[in-house]
Amino acid sequence: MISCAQAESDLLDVVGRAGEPSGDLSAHLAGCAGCREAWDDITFAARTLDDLEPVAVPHAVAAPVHRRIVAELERRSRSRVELPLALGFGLLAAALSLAMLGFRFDLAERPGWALASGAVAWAAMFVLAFWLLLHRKGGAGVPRLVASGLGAAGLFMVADHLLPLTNVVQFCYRSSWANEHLGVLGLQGVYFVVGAGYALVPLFLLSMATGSRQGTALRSGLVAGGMFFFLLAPAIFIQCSAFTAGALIAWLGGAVVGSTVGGVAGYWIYQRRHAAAT
Amino acid sequence: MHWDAPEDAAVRAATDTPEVKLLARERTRSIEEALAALPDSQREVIVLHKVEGLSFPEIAEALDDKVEAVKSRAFRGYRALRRILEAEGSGR
Repeated sequence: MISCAQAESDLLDVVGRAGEPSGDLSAHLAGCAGCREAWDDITFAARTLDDLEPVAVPHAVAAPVHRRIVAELERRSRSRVELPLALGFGLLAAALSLAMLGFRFDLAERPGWALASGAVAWAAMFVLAFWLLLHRKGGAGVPRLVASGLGAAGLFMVADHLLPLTNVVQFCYRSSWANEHLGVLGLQGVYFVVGAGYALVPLFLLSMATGSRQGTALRSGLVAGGMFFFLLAPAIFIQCSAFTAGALIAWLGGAVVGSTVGGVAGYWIYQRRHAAAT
Repeated sequence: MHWDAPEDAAVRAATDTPEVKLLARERTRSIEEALAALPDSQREVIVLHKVEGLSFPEIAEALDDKVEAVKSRAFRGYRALRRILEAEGSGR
């Protein structure tokens, strides 16, 4: 003999396939007035609903259900890839950022535990930042944004390694031509202009190459620029440690402007080119 | 081309009268109102089950809930729906 709870569950299955109770369920109904009444109610309601044609379900009833299902499926689909993507991007960004620091900063004298814990904290910070970005933006277009930010950081590293920004600034002070044309800016002005150029060019090129039609050029460019600056800032701090606070602030300011303008301009051109092509 | 059997055409002629159409529309409207009167949690399960034709495991998957919880909502919903329909006088 099945229980009333089991009978209720079985009744719904029977209604779902438009069948009739049989076996244990039928025996239970024969001896249980409460479940018989429930069966009457359920079949009555189900048969009444059979009179509804599919199109007769009012939009106000069906739309919220569909919206909830679609939102739930999208959320689950996103959450499956968010963490692996955030881990991948975060570890890559942390490695790139630490490489930037390592180029300019002698880490050999630091104790192993300090380096290890610093690297873990650094990586965790990047993973968290990317996870928040993926979670808030819904994943659409984020891999391309990340590719432009990380790619630009790599390009910056190569450029700054082959032709260090500080050497360019010094050249501007030693060269008579440059001194004549740029000297009016002063040391801080030169740091600002050259720093802006070193940030703008890599991000502009990468944003133009890996752009996305998702979102506006302004928003995408600002996100990519922010990510790029986040990667750049430690390297700027380290390289400026021997200089004045004015030079540091000027370079950081230039990097902010260059990142923003480069990202937005790159995305804008990508979207314009794509719109023209279609 | 599809040709109706004579008896089909006769049935359609009998059910296509303005009165029958009006009654059907009225009945549909009252069923819709009864559905709308259910709590959201019961209505969504019943719409998915009876109108969309999903099985309970599929509904549970779609709503990220347990099958037994979904069935419980359907059970209460169907019974409530009968009470509402009877109160409206639009039962079968």
